[in-house]
Amino acid sequence: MIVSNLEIIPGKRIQKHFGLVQGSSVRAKHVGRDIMAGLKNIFGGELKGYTELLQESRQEAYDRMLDQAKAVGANAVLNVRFSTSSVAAGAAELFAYGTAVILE
Amino acid sequence: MIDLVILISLLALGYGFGQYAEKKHYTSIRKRELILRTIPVVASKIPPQGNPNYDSQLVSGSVVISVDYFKRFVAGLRGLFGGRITSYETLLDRARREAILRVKREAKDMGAEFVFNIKLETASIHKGRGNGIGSVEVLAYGTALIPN
Amino acid sequence: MQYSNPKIPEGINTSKTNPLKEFAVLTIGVIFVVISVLALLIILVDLFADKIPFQWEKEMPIERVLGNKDGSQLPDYINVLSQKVISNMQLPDDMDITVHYVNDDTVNAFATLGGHIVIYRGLLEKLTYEEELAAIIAHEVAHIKYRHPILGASHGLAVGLVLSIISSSADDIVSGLLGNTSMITVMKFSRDYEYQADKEAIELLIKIYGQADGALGLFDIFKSVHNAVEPIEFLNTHPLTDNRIKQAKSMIFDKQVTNQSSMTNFPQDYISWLASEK
Repeated sequence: MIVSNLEIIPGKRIQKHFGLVQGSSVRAKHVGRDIMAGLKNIFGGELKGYTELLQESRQEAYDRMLDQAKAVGANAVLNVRFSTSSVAAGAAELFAYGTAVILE
Repeated sequence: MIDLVILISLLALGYGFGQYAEKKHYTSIRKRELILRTIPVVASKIPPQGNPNYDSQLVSGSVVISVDYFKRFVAGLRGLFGGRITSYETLLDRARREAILRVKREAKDMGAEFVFNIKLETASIHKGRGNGIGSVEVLAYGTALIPN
Repeated sequence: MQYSNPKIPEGINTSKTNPLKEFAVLTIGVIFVVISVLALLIILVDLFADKIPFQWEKEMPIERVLGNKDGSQLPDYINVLSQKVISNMQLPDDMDITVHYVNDDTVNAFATLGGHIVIYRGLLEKLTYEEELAAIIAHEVAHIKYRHPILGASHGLAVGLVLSIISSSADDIVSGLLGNTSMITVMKFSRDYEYQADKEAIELLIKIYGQADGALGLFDIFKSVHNAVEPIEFLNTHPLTDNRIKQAKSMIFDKQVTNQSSMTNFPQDYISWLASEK
């Protein structure tokens, strides 16, 4: 499946639009990661625990968006956008959306 | 002892009313999605080619949904163990679909045929006690194309 | 270029979990984990806490906080009785006990850091026999003998520390749950200490008086003071009085104590002194 944040893929024509597909994932950190983050606030450095958490979360949101696209029969998702929002302390919502299309 | 009783009552109230409100909302969402199926919503920027002239108009729809005590408690426990906060997933799903439905409603009232370049914004309104989630706002906006 | 708007199936962006099941699993999980971790922590702390020298306890300025603010003097009778009890309890050499008396209605007595025991007038007024007073003194001295005050203080400190670290990343509601769970865990250890002190007291009574009816009499007094139904045991720092009576009776049976002689009355000058203290 072609996934891109371009409007038009060079060399391909859009045959059919299926509209908006979205994928989202809300995850929480656990106490261990939080304590490490607290310590890092003193010593500085990359918060690897949180980075991993958000990467996994973003991957899940992305996969869900592709699941929606497959479910309507598309073979590509264009104009993909990501968004992160903090909905509560220690929980972030990762959101991906785009247009599902059939390319030929 | 009295604390425990209060906690359990709040949880029961939250669960009962929360589940009821959610079911009702989802039924309403599915019904309206069926009705408004005629208006496609796309994230693309480039309008349809080789087509009659369209009037363009910015349309938007937003909704603020609050979370109940039961969901907040379960999410708080999740914050200790980590993992997917399933209670918030439905909250955000509902909010997003509702916002998009409101965009479609506004577009339909204008007589539009499509909505292009839809964008979504999520924000946490009123963080609630102890930095927990209080309510969530989702804003959806795009350009409605009205055939003239 | 066709634009269609197909129905997207439900359930991709939400998870199909039963919320009640998730709630039960998480809550029970949290309670179980917290109790296990804290119990382990307390056992670990106990390995080190009783190594704290008794001398350090004595250096704390506790006497300034305790009773005797109104200058009440401990009557000689109680002093003599305390010495008799203490000498029969095989305390370590450096452990000195100081008994304080407070002229107050409170029906209570307690032992605290540094070997200090406080007895209130309210409790003294409820007693009828010398053996009952000896049981109280022996129970409190036993707490000090087994270093329960410093152990209890260390538990509170360690648990409080761990709890504040965990609670900093949790919201209010969950912090409340964690706090209550940790309290329940600490209380279990406190109840075990009460049973241990009761045991010492009964052994002492049997040693000095040949019978332990003084302890049973004391528990009956506790029951009458509580009059209403006692709260659930696991939410309490002390065991249910009925359970303490059960332990006492089973010890009396095991040691085959058969002395049926009646208990000693208080001397007249003590009774007069107590009446005048009101």
